[in-house]
Amino acid sequence: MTAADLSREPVASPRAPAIEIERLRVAYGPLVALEETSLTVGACEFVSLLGPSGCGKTTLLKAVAGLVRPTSGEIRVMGGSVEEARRQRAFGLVFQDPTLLPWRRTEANAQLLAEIIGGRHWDPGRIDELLRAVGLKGFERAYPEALSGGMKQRVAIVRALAFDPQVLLMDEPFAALDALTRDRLGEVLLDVWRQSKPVIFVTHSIEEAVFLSDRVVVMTARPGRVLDEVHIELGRPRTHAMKESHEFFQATRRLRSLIDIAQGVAAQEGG
Amino acid sequence: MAESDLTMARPAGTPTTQQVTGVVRAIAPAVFLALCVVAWQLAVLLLHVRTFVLPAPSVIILRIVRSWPQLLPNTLVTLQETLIGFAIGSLIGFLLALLIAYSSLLERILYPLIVASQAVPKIAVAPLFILWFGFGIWPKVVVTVLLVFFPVVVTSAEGLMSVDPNLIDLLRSVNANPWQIFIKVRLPHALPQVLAGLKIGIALAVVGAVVGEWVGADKGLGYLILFANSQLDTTLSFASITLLVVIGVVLFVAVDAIGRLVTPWKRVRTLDPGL
Repeated sequence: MTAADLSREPVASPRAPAIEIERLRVAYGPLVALEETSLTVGACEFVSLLGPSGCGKTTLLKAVAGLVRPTSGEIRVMGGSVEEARRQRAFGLVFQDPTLLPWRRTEANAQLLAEIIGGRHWDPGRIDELLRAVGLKGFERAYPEALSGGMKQRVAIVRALAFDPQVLLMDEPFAALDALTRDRLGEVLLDVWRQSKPVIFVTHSIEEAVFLSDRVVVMTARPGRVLDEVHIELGRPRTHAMKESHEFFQATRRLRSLIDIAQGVAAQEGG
Repeated sequence: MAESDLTMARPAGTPTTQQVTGVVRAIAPAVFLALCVVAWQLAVLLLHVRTFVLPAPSVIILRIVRSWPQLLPNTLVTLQETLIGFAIGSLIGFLLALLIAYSSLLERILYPLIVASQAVPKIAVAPLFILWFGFGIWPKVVVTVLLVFFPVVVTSAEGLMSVDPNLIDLLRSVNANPWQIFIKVRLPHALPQVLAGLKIGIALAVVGAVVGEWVGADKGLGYLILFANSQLDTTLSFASITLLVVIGVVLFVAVDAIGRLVTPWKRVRTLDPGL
């Protein structure tokens, strides 16, 4: 039953909702991290969350993954509850820190989650293929200590995709990397993603959000709320040339002004 | 881009310099030890120090050879107490660390008691152990256990609790059960720190056995030292101490070697005993 569900092809329309968040509120005691947050992510849609620090982007991501319990509101993943989705191992997570296990070599690190899930989701061929796709061929036997920051994050991406999760959740995965590595890894990510599943991608970088996403959602801080969203009218596959395009500039300009508003709102409410 | 990721070149000296440094590093500890022994020998000879005050190293070595039939059984007794005490102490230490790591309530209850147990002078309670556990090896083992478990519990608990919460979240996101989290992440993560505790523990274990023997024993190196002192047989005392040192160093190196074996991902940058 479970296996059948997981092997199901993505719903016909790529915009059909895969993740639905409705009037979500998350409070840690008196501290309200998220309020009145609603968001829908399509079946194969790449959505970035953009906003000042402390706007609850991470909390939103953790709530979707079932790691944080909502105070009120509802989250539905693939039409079911978060708990159901988690039982079906729906979530592939990537954090800012690669959080690799120092005692495992690249290969073993990449298969950590697949190992825990076991069964038909452990496909060494798939891991091998992913490692090649992200450019880690030849480093299967290296310990994390011997890898650069960018390479570690590549391993973390492979680890998240190794068991073919239904949803990819990424929390500032490239924030700790230098600009060049960051650009390159963005391309690598799009490459392995291949519009196969919904992605929620938290970032502080406007350019990164525009380059990667179908839609960028801007949030305000304290409490976190959705301010507005911008559809990115760039085709796929994305290329570097698109960064010079009119659409790219328009989107970044629009987002920058939204961020200004978000920060203004934050300053007002904070003061 | 991949290339720039891979550039891990570290500045290497010329091979000859490296070789020389390597040789110096390898033999330096032995040379230093030899110099100390020679200085000791010369000092005793030139200053005409009497043997019952400070025997020369040559005299001690001769005595070890000559009294080997007496020294060996006593060494084995102390070795046995040390190893049993170390094994039990490490086990108790690790189990307590598990309780502490998995329950903040137990941490609050146990930690003060564990710390208090270290404030008790072992030499003061050792006579009680003889009262309770008889005259054999067990009171010595108990003293050893008391000394050994403490560093193990402290470092192990620290290791078990210092796992990156993101990593735990990651495993929870695929519904990993607590046992999987323990065996795949917590335990291997804690291993280097557990081993650090074991290294301190093994060094203390020898001390524990000797303390236990001092309070009441009729065999063991600690007993032999007491006996030798009462006879003003300083040479025998030094011979026993030498064997204690050998036991201590050998056991430490053994624990260290096992540690390296089970944590191959750790580069050799920890304490290098150079032996």
